[in-house]
Amino acid sequence: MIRFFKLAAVFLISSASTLFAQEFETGEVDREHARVELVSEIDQVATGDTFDVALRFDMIDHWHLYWTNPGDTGMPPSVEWIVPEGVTVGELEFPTPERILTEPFVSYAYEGEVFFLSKVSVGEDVDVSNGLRIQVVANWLACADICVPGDANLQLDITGGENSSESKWSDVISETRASQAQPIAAGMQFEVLENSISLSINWAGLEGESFEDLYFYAEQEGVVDSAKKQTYSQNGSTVIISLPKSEYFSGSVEKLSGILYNKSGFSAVGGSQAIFVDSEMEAGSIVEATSSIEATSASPENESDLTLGKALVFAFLGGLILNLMPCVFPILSIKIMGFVQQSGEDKKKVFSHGLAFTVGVLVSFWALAGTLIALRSTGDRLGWGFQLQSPEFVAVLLVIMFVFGLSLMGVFEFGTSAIGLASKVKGSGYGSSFFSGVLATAVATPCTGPFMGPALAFALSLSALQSLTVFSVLALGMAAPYLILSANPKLVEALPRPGAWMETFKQAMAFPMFATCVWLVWLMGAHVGVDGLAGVLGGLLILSIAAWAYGKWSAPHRKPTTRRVSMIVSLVIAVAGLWMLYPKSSDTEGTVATSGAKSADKYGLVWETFSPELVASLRAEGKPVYIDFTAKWCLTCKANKTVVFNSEEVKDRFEELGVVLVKADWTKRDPVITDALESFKRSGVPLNVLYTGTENGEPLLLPELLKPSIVLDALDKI
Amino acid sequence: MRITKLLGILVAAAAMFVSAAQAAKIGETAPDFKLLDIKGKEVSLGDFPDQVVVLEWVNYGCPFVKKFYNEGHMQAMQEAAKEKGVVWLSICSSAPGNQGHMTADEWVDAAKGKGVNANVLIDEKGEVGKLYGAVTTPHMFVIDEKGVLAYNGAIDSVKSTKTADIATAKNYVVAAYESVLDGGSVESAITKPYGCSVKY
Repeated sequence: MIRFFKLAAVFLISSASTLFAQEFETGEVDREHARVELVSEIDQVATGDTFDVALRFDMIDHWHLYWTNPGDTGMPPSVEWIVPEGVTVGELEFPTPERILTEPFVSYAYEGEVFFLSKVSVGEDVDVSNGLRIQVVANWLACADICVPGDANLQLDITGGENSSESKWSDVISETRASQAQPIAAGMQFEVLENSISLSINWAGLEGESFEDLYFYAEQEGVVDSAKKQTYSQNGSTVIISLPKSEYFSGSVEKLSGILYNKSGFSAVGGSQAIFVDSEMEAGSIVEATSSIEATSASPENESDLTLGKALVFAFLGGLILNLMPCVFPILSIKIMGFVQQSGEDKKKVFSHGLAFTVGVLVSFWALAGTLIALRSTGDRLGWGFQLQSPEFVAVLLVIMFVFGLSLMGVFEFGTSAIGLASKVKGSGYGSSFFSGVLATAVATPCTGPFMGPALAFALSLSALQSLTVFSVLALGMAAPYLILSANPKLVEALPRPGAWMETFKQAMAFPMFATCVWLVWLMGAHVGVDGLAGVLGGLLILSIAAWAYGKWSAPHRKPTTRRVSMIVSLVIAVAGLWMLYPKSSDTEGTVATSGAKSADKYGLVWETFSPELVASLRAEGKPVYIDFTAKWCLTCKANKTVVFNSEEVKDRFEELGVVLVKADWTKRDPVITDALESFKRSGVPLNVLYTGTENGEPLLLPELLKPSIVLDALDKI
Repeated sequence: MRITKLLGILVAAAAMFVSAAQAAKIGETAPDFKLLDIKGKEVSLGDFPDQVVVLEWVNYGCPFVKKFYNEGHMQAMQEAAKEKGVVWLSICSSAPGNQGHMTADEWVDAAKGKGVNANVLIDEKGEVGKLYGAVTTPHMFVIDEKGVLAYNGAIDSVKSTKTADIATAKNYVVAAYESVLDGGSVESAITKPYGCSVKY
């Protein structure tokens, strides 16, 4: 008999197309390694019913079937349903698997009796008074020490009847349904590290929960090594699990989903042992998870205290105030001069200019908001003014401001226009009004930080649509004075008439420009250090020479040759100035404090700045050294610090043992730190290393995901 | 008896641990080995300098292997490789008493019965399998002319025991050795192998 089925199986496999010609069997069928049956929770079916059917396997001892991700080896069962039209059968639902060891491999699989559920829905227009026939073609792979494929064509007839009644399988099917991993809208994030994947799950139900044999079954194949142990650390409502990376992991992983198993049950879901989590389940919850990790390190309380309405009011006021900022004020003055000129013109035209300006402001704010939203979705957590973290952006802004200021002063003039960059601003077309709106926004951004901080932080924590609204209101606030002026020409008429005073006013306007330059130079200083700053100022000096040369010999009354030569010469000088001023990559690392500099962190620990020489000399002195290779963009690093350095026990032990703490900050890719990481055969952070202080002692490399006990154990070796 | 079994498991686990630490890595020199083939001749990787070598872990009892042998697909792949000057070595790491294990004489008959011309090496101690980290049958490795491991993983992209699926699957091994022969880099150099576990 068995032999017959073996033959039949081989035959079926080799000619799949003949499957449907096969007979379907009713009731329990006997296969080599399992008894298989199609069962239903109801005995009688009526039109409109929805109920569970189950593919029931009763496996012979030691034989198992596989979960959707089978682990090291294996393959999940597959089914094809055949039902009358109007009847639908849902996907096969896999229960929570077990880890089954067939040394040295670990499979995610099932042994014993297992029920794979599927939801059946009978449509409202389907007549089942004569009964319902459900057929399934099932294929599976059963393995013990060896693997054997199996298949069965099963059939189930349910009698028709007005009262759907429970079958003898109803209890066990509802039990199976109840024990199915429940989908939870948990905040989920993961980070792919050198040897592991650090998975962070944030869910209120994890708070205060005790875990036994906590395990994450990833649905994605070839990502997690099923044969290796998973470790975890718990911090409030966040659990971070270190998933050993599969040897066959390559490239990237877009999403992670799967079953989180806790032997002692999750009390938040009635003691059920398994929950289902998905990193793409809900965008909002992912953001929540991020901020909860942040919440432990930063203090973004003010973010959530603002309601949307309040934020909109703040945004409008903020926008208004922007007009008074030194970086916007010059634009304001140019624009007012524009209005002064236009005041004699058609009133409608003046208002249209106001509108064009407003649109210019709006569009620029939308572009900024779009950039922020896009960056946020890539996982970078950026605040307002993030452009100012980029020395290149600051440099460009500085040059614009400085050149603009020189021009206002009258050092040179762009062509025939009074104010170089503002030539378009000053023009009379609607395009120029639009452009001046854009320019005003671009120039205003550096000043918004302190005023707009809370409103923008709030905006960034909202959905894309809501944050766009906040940005729009901000833009409207900024454009409001212009719009009001252009709508009420009387107010414009009240403005002073153009005259000689304008030249004086224009020159005076250079000073707010230079004031802004002072501020920008100061910002540059934070990026490039004192030496870099000398280069920046030198660059500005050369740029001013270029501007002066251009202004002196390029004026319209000069001979054409003189003008041409001077234009080329001043251009060359200007390029030299720009090159000198532009932040070099080596400069940007200049902020790294000199080696050995000490700084205390928010956990009250004093860290020295990493250098190989420092570590070598400390080791020579026989001092124990703890090195934290970290980066600001590394979430796992942050989580490690929160968990470990908040522990008084760890801090006490550090002090008792006189451990010297050294921090290697890899936020900017520092080649010295890259080399150091390579010396430990790593290419990324986090990496925590402990030298026990014995001469020539091998360093202890701590795992990527830390908890206090791991660090304490390591410290015990000193 | 129990203790010996337990010890056996421990030794196997330790061996696996050690081998996992040294398992063959893409871009690194593939570890050399010496095995007897089914005709009793000693074969080593060093016998094939300047040639591309394909290693195939095999177990005729495994349904995933049968998928490729029953209708001659694997045999055809082996012939096609040979025509391009690629060396194809099938390796059986099944331990004595486990599925797939055969004596040299039984192997000769079985291979003849299946019309297999590629050489089969017997690794009943599982040393070479563990050296390469072979997990499944089939589990495929491609080694380039310089002896560097260029591919490690599945035979193709459709995980199943159905012969009919071969036609629609992307064959990783052929793609890998053809890229190597063309002097290019292998697009997917590492994939998750599928199949039965190697019966160490």
